[in-house]
Amino acid sequence: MIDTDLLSRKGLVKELAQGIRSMETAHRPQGLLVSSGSEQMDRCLPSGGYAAGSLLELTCNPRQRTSGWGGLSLALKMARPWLNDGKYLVMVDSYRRLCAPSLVAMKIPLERLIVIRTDNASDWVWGLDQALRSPAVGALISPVTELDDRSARRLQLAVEQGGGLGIFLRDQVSAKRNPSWAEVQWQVQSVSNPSSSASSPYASPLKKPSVMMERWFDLELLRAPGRQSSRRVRLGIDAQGEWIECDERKSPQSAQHLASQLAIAAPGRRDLAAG
Amino acid sequence: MTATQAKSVAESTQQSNWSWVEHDPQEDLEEIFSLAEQLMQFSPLVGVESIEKNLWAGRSILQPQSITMDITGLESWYGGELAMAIEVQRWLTREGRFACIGIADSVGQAWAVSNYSFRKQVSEAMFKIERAESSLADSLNECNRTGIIERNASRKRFSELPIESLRLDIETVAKLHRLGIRTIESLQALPRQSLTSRFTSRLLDRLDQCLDARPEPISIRSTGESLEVCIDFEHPIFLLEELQEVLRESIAQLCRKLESIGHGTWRLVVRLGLEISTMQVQEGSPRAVPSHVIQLGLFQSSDDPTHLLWLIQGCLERNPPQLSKNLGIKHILVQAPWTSAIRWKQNALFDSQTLRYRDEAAKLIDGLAARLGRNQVVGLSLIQDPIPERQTKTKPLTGLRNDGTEQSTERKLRKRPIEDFHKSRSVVPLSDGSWTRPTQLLIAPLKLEVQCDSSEIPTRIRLIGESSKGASASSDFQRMVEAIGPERIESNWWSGPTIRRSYYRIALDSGIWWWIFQDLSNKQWYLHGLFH
Repeated sequence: MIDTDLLSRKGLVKELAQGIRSMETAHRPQGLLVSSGSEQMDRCLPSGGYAAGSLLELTCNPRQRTSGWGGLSLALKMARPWLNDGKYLVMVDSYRRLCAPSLVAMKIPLERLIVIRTDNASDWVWGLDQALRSPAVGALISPVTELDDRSARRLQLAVEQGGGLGIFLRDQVSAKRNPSWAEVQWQVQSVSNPSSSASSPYASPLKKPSVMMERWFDLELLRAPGRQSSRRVRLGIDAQGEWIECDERKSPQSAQHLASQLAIAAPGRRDLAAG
Repeated sequence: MTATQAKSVAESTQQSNWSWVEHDPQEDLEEIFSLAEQLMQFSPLVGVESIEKNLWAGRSILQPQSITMDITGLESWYGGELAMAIEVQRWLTREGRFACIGIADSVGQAWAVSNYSFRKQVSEAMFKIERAESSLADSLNECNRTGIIERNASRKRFSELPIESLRLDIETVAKLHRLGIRTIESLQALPRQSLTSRFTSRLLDRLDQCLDARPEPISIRSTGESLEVCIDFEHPIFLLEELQEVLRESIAQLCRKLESIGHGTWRLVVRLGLEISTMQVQEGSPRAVPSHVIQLGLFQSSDDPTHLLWLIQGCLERNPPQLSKNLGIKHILVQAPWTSAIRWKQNALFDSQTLRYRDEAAKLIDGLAARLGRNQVVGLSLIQDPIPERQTKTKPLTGLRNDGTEQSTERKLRKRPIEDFHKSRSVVPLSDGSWTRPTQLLIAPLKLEVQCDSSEIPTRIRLIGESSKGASASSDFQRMVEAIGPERIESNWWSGPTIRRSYYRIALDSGIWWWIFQDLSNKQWYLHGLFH
């Protein structure tokens, strides 16, 4: 009798969750999913890819707050599949730092790249809103520092209308302090090449054989619809700009149940932001 | 004036508030076309010189630098040609421009006089400034920069001018110089037949345009027949909401006119005539104040009222007229000064989806540029230069061509749709992979302090001094765990002072990757790029 009650409750919760989910995604292009190109990453995502008209956040580990943690490279890699059908990539580069040779090496078509520079927060939100709203924009990459609740919601509605993918690069501290309407949130940590013995100290780094032809990241899925627990995956990008999948046995422990991570799950944070 | 001359003059004036600004061709173009439009107050027929594919001798950039005006019959209003030239010169000086004016029977003559008659004077003035015999302002004021060639002037008036004044390409002028011909007088002495056989007929054409005043067309910027909608109010309006309603109606009217002739507009000008309220006007003081002008250049010609209104609203949000209860809008003029026929394409032959995206992207770019500014919406391209900071060229996605026309979608977003960007020409995979260049380059490299081992190889590193945004300075040394280098980079000998650097890609123990270099001239280490 207890089991039946439990099952019916579970079914009801599942049904309600599905109902909420369908209400939340009612304005998006239905059923359009784009694979990240990495099987391991897709397996972590409940729907097996990134949904059109959604926001994605890459947050850096607090230990790597200094620029150079590799978030932009990952974002470029994730954005690339969204440009295949003639759509455009919009990048926000207010500090005028983008380096064209690296974009070309990451196979980003420069003729379909629009770079926006903004001087203040209101122009930044407006620019992002317009770009995300445009059906011509396949993906947008922008760093995010401070974002209020209304602006975050505004950007979410814009991307739902445009049907592209918005990728935000955030500091973990800022991501926890400020609201977010991103559907998927990854925490990224740049790590040493697992095939090298880089962890052992060297007398001189220049005497070491070169291992910087590929870069590895530990990605922890902090938030995804329908996902109750955090998932971790170790992925690399090789010299040709392609994904390298790590041997599952070597990758960090997956499907961890971390009570602390539940504290920043989407519904709770939204309530917090709204209240 | 060359950059070296300018530097010398600036240093001699002993003013420390000068700085080097990189030449922006687009800004230059917009400036000269804007000046041409303003000069229409003196003549309705104003154009910018038509340049050719090859650079003219004596010029350093392939861009128009002269403005031509047809003043036939207008000089009497000013009391003669000289008086008119002086009036134009005064106006230009008030606008902060340094200009040389030539009035003659033909474009060729006027061009030669204005470009080459005063060069000697100007260089002498610069020499005086360098020797501190005169101040910059005095020297420029002393120069007489107005030359008038009387009607049916004899050929002798031009004999002293150099052959560069004939607007010849560099190759022809170099050939003539090798033959010892440096002035028009020497050129005139040669038989015409031999000139035709040795050079192209272009040389004779140019000679005739100058010496015989052979007429040339002026490429007029605007014929003065622009489509426009003008609305006068009985009482001024003071609220932006009301203004937006009126603009909506005016733009819709303008678009109906455009549609009726099958045209779209490349430029949109909105003039808001402001007026001070009657109650506030002191006796004798003027009621009208300068108009608030909004000018828009479009990425592709458009007759879509919603799109045009959206663009104007973006401009108004960025730079609204300062309305108050005392200052209102009395009349509104919406003009389409430059239109062209809208081209229809059979999209089905190509990938219609791709073309749709291109049109949508064009609209997005227009809107972003209208609100954020032209220089804030850019595209990137690669430049073949060994110095990393010069390899990325940014170019505004809206702008003008050399002939003053707006650059079209075809120009900016490629004519043919690119179905697979892997086949695109711009994507040239680097031979040694994705991680050879950082994703971000710092505009000003940051100084680093480096600790080396016994073999003078760096092992630990830290930033020193002020940090730039995004790359925070750390007071602690960080250990380098991996490094690739050195990659020696040296500037080309023809591009100024030699730059020699040794670059290293390094990975720090915190997991961060940097691109650092050692300046070989002073052995200082710098952080230049971030593998962000």
